[in-house]
This record gives sequence, C-alpha cells and structure tokens, in this order.
Amino acid sequence: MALVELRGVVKRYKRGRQQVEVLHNLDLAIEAGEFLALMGPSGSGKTTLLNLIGGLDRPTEGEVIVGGEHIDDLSSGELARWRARHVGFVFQFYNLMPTLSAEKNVELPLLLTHLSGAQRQKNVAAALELVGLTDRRKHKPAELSGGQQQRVAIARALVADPTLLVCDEPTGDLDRETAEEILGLIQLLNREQGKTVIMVTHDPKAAEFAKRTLHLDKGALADAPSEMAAQ
Amino acid sequence: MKYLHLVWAGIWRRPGRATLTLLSIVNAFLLYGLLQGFVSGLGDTVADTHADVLITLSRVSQLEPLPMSHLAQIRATPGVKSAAPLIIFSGAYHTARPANFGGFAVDPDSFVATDTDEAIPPQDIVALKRTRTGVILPARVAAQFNLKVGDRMPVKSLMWTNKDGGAWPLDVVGVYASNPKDLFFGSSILANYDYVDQARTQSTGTASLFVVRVDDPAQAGQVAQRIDAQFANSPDETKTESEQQLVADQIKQIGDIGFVVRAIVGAVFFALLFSVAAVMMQSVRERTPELAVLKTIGFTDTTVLGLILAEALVFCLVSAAIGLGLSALVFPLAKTAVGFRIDVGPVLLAGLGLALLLALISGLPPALRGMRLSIVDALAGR
Amino acid sequence: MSFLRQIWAVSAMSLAALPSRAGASLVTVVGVATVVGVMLSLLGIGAGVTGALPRNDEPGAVIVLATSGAEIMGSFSQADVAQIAEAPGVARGPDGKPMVEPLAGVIVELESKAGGTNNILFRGVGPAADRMSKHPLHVFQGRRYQVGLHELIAGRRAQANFKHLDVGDTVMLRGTPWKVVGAYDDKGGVDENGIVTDADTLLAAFNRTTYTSVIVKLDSPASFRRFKDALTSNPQLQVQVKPLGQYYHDQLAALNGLVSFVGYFVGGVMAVGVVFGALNTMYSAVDARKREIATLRALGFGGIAVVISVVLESVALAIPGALLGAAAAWLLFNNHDVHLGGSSFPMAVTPGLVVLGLVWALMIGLVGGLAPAIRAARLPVAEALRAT
Repeated sequence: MALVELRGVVKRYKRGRQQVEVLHNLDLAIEAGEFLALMGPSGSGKTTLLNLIGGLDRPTEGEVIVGGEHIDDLSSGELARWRARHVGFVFQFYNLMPTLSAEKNVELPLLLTHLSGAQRQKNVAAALELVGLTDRRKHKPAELSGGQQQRVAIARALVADPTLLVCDEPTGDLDRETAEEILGLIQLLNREQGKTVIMVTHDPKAAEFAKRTLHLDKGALADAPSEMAAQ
Repeated sequence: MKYLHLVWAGIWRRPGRATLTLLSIVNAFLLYGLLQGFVSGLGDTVADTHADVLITLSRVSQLEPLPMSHLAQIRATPGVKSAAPLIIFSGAYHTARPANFGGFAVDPDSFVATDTDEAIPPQDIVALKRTRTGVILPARVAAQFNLKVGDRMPVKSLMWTNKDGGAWPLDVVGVYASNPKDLFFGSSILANYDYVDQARTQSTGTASLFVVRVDDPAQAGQVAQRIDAQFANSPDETKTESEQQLVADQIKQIGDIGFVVRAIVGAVFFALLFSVAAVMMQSVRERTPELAVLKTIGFTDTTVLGLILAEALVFCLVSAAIGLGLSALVFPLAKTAVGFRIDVGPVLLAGLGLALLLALISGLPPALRGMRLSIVDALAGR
Repeated sequence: MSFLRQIWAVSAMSLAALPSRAGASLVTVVGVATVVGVMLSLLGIGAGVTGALPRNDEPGAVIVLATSGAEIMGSFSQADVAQIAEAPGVARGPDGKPMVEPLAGVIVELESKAGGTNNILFRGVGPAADRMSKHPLHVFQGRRYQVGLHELIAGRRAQANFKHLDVGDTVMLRGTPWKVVGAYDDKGGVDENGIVTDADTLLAAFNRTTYTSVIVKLDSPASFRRFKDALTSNPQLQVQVKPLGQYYHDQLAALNGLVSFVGYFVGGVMAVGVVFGALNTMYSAVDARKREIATLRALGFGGIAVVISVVLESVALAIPGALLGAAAAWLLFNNHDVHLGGSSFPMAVTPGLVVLGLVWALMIGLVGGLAPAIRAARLPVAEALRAT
C-alpha cells in the first residue's frame, strides 16, 4: 500500500465573496522511500497540495491517507500531534526562530516528545552532524548564511525521525551552487536514510534530483497517465 | 519547564522594548508597594491593639477633659481591673528646630497597673515617682535629640501652658525601648500627672482620658457600657471604646486614605494594563510567522496559547517582584518616618496576585490570537 | 523657510499615519491621561484646602494665642483680655472701646451624615464679632443666636456633613440641648465647617472660665511689632501673636503641603512609568516608519526635521491624554467633598492645575519622544531602505 494516498481531493478557498477551487478531484499515491518532485507554475496548487499531505490543511472533499491513517478526519490538536510524529518541514525562507541558537532551533520538535534533556541533546548533535553544522550549533540564524540556515532547517525537519520530509521550494532563496548542495543533502537523506521526500519546486534543475516528477497545472495533475502507470 | 527557554527567548525578542516595559511594570509595582504598604501599616496598627484595654474619653469630644472624680467610679465598676488617668501632653523639644512627638502625663503607679506590655522598666517608674519634673523618653526620641538620663529637656506642650513660664522644664529619668506596634504608648514621652496637672494654666483636676484594663477581654464591651451608664446625663458624659475602635476612628479622622490609595492604584493599573497588553499584542503580531512554524512542527494550538500566556506571566511576575522588592527595601525607611510597623508579607503577596491578574488580562488576547492563527494563512503572509 | 517646510512635510506625514498605529498610540494617550487625572485629583484636594482660606482678612487683624499655637488650646481670663486691650496699637471702635474680641473654641463630636461621629469646631464669639476684624459671618437662613440662650448657627458645610444641624433642629452638646436658629456661609472658607454661638454662653455651658484665643484689631498694620512685643514681653501672659491671615494660612499650609507632596510624588512616579510606555510607543512608531524615514532622508530631508517630527508626534499624543485626564479629574472630583482632619473641603480642579497637567504631559511627550527621534535621525539610510 502507498505511504501517502489522496482520493478525490477537492480544495476550495473563500477569497472574499468568491469561492475558488484550487484542487479538482485529485488522486495521488506516493510510495514509501520515494523522492517526488511536484512542479507547476505559480497558482497551480502545488503548495496547497503539499499542505494537505503535510497535514497543515484539510481537504474540502476527499480523503488524505498517510501511513494508513485518515488525516482528514483528525481534529486540529490531533493533526498537530500527528505532524510532530510523522512530518518534517523545510521552507523556502528557512523559517528559523531568530531568537534561538541553531541547536535550540533543531531541538524544537523534540520538545514535543518525552525524551529526556540529555537524549534530546544527543539527537540534536546527531542531526547537526548529519547536515555538517556541528561547529555552528551556538550561532543564531542571523549569524549564518542562507545555505547554513537551510541546513539547520533540514536538521530540524529530521531530528524527530519523521516518516515524511515535506519541502516547499527549499532552494528558492539560494544561489545555484548552494542549492545543489542542499538538494544533494536531501537526496542523500532519501537514499541512505530511506526518508520519503515530497518537494515542491518550480526549478527543473532541482526536480532532476528527484526519482519521480509530477506536474500540476490549474489544480489537476497534468501527467496523470504516468501516475496511473506507477500504480 | 523544557519550554522555559522558549518563553524566555520570546520575552527578550526585542530587548529594548522588553526593558522599557519591564521598567514601567517595576515602577507601577513600586508605587503600589509603597502606597499599599502604608495603608496596611495603618490597618496593622489597628489590629495590634490590646483586647483588654478600654479608653474612656469625654462624649463631648476627644479633646474635652474629664473630671478626676470619674476615676474612683470607673475603678469601682464591676469587671475593671485597673484604671489610670492620662493627660495628653504632645509637645515639641524646645530647640531651634523643634520636632513634635507624642506624650502623656501619667500617674506612675496606676499607669504601670494598666501597662499590659510592661514596656517601661520598673526602675524608670520608680525614678519618675521620685522626680516631680521627671520624664521617661522612648529610645527614638532620646536618640533624635541626643538626650540621656540626667539631661534637662525643656518641652513646649502643644496642649498645655505651664503657669510658670509656658514651657515645661523636664528632667530625663529613663529611656525605654520604643515599640512601633503600639501607636499610643510605643513612642510617647511620659511625664508626671501631678506635676503637669497642677502647673497647667487650665483644666486642673481633670484627665484627657482614662485607660481602663478589664479582667476579661471577652467582657470588654459590657464593661464599657457599664462605665458610660454611670455618667449618662451628667455634664461630663463619657464614651468608652476599645483601644482598637479608637485607633480605627483616629485613622478615619485623617481622611479616607484607603479610598484614595485604591483609586490611585486602580488608575495606575488601568494604564499599565493598556501598555502591557499593547506590547504583548504587538510582539505576537510580529511573530506571526514564527508561531506558524511552531504549529507546523507540531505544537498544538493550546501549547501556543500556553507559551504566550506563560510569557506574559513570567514577564509580569518577574517585573512585579523587582518592583515589590524595591518597595520592601523602602519600607524600613517609611517605618522610621511614619513611626509604625509595616507588615510587608501580605502586601507583597497581594502584589504578586495583582501581577498574575495583569498577566492574564493582558496576555489573553494575544494568546488567543496566537492560538487561532491559521498556519496556511500565516505562512502565505496573509 | 525651506527648513520649516521640511519639518511640516515630515510631521504631517507622521501625524497622518497615527490612526494606523491606533493601538500603540492609545497606550500613550491612556497613560498620560491617568497620570494627569490622578495628579490633578490629588492636587485638587490641596487647591480645595487653599481655596478654603478665609478671603477677607482685614489688615491689622491679629490673633493672640497660647504659646502652643492652637486656637482652642489657649487660656485667657477676663484679666488677660483686659491686659491685651491695653496693649499699644489696639484700635478703638466708634464707642471708644478697644476692639478686642475674646473667642472660645471647643471641639465637639457630632453624628456625621456619613455614619459614626466626627469632630467639629464649636466657636464662641463676642458681641463685637460683626464690627471686628474677623469678617462678619453671613447668615443666609434663619437668624442669629441670642446671647444667653442655648442657640447656635451652623456653617453651610457643617450642615452638609453632620446630622441635626438644619435650622429648627436641636442638638445635644455636653448634656445641654442647643437650638439651631440659623445657617451661615463664609464664601467657601474653612469656617463654614463649624458651628457658632456667643462666647460667654459657650463658656458657661462647658464649665469653663477662660477664653481660648483673642482677636484684636490694630489701629494700623504697622503697629503689629509694637503690639506683639508688648504682649510677648509681658511676664503675666504666655502668648504668641500672629496676623490673622497668616494664622489661617499657616494652619492650612501644613495640610496643603502634605497633600501637594503626595500629589507630586505620586504624579512623578507615575509619570516615570508613562515615559517608559511613551518611549515604547515612539520606538515602535519609528520602527514602523523606518523605510519612510529613510526614503525622506535619501531625498535630502534633514535629520533635525525627522527629530522634530517624531517629538511632535509624541507630544501630539500626550496633549489629548492630558486634556482627557484633566476632564476626568474635573468631572469626577471638582467640588467633590473631601474630609481631612475633621474638616471638609470642596476639591478644586482649577485652570491653573489644568495648565500644570498640560505642562506635565508636554514633559512626558518630550522625554518619551526624544530618544526615539534621535534614533530615527541616525538610521543608516541605505540599510533602512532595504528593511522590510
């Protein structure tokens, strides 16, 4: 069974008085261990789709099943706890806490677990080691470069050992060289650690790092046939 | 506890703003501590009075003298253990810079019999009996004017003129430890009744008041009624009250201090509430993306609400504690200035309660805003 | 000229943006309003006390008191009064008699309308009261007491504060019923807090033989020193002499001083707190306008213009706050009776106090605006332009 399964998902937003349908009756399955790139022009609904998979938002109609769990049924509190356990997020603008040092930023998801302080420190150290920032652990975000900040964000996404890694334009704010380093890191996580990665990007070069690429256009998957084939 | 560093970091996110807000809270609680400490000091003075002591005054007014013939009748009243005549003798030391102090002229023997605290050393009473112009000073007054036993102390009474030259040439025969708990006698000078009564230009043969000690404090009310009944419908009707009632009345005479202080404190906290609530709201508004990220990571809405409330609580309590601590440092000064004991404990506790309230009221709206924050909207910058 | 135009342009822009920062701006307005409100209310008590000074102290009117200095504590026999009358400088009336008026004052307790009992001054004055230096009391209702009868007249404020003082009432004083036959006012002076009867009648009723003070009219104010020296050097008299106006002033000055001290102290401490709040408001205002200020600076506007515009904004918030606070103090407390030391005074939130409140607010606005203004002027232009 697929790790992530979307069945007949419709998402509508109210924009003022108008209702806008962003996703139309969308079906999608993502297997465990995949590295999926979601591409599409802006406004195509990529981020909306990612939010649904990551449990940040709920569909207007349809089902979202992750790891066998119907996350569209969960209350917002249950959804929050679910995210804490299963999803790691990486954003375009890193979204680190400016007042916290790198290691305290990475520790944040662990605060939601029952781990002891010592255990938390161990896991944080391991995550920072993985992204190669051990020597920068005491620095505040403002003292780090963009690439370093994104590495901290990836460490934060990983530290609680989530099922899914959800990345929204993770290289959108980085120069080409740094972007490739970050993508390489994500690829490594997928290959060596078996993390399932779903990445939204509008950069074809970035999509090349993925195992599979899906195109979204006007709220529907444009290359549906290939997806059917995968099933 | 593991969230404490998050809360602390949130507080000091804008150090300048946090410092200014902290100072304004410290300032408000300093003022609160000073004013409320003063009021509660007055209250404690009332509470510290003796249960078995009654004061008999003229019903005409507190300043109207009563004839000494009342004394025998009061002593004979059932339930009365002892009674002593007193002349109010408040005065000023006759120096270039006069300073006022409280004072009484007492009959040494009967005064000792009613002195429940036994504050005056027996040898001083003996000396007072021996020396007609003697005076016993509380340590505070003795220190203030640098007087010791054997010194001559010319006193100008606020109440009585000496037939023989106006001022009263008193001789210091004893010094006793001041008792700030006792508003009446704790810091008063004590002279001889006989000397003052016979040498004053008017009201000879009278007492300003009688101090009455009863056998059973539970019966004090009935004894007071019995005393007053004996003098009813005479020109010198009496009004006998417990020491406590009298002190309370005297404080009331000054004016409604409690109301004034409550009004000031109310106004101060009204303004403070606005200011703290605005700062908290601004801080949460600025942190919208950060809070959204916390929620994305898996912090529940309730945890976010709790974090912001905790920020308000920690901040207000720390600031209030500093302010109250400062006011507690000032209390000892106030004690020497006002002359009565101030029990700071309850004031500080009530102050922390007030800080709690301040934190909850000012922290709740921003906390609710943080709780209701939608991740999708906040991340999209809406 | 161009400088003024600069200031005007920058200030207009900052003031126009005020509504968009309503929340933060309100903090300053409310803060200043409470400081000014509280301070004016407290000082209004002091102003009420001062306002209660008897207005028409006649020149040459002096009071002879016991050395202890209290009006009700003296002890003057008929012989003492006669000696005082013979002192140099005493004026003589149309009848050729010296204008000397012995007074008898006792403090009595009456039932207060607020509950319980309260002290009131029962003053006995002589038959010469009306002609005398002590300005005549104006009986606005009923009539004057008759000498020798247990009759009294009650002051307007005393009537307001005590039971049984309406004209026609009878009040028990030291076992004797006294009839209230009239009511007087004294132009709002502190004497309205008392009750008055004939001095000798009062002394007889209270079993006294001596007066408590003596009022004397001098032939000219210049005679004061001569008169005073004559009395204080007389070994048979233990007295002090004061011009009547000064005596009243001294009595109320201590009270006024205490109340004013409390007013300025509380007002000062609160103002410090509000300055912190105002600083916060203005720092965030400067923060919010970072780009705008940097743009203006880039266009060539001077630093001083920016400083002035920020300070102006701060003051513009403080002034309405002061007016609001003054209005609240006036509405709540003007003419409100306060009881102090046994007398009651109508609080007075006077125009002078309102001006004081405005000055206070101006200071808060200036102090609270200056540091943020200087920061605004020092913003590195290039950096601020990039700020979001």
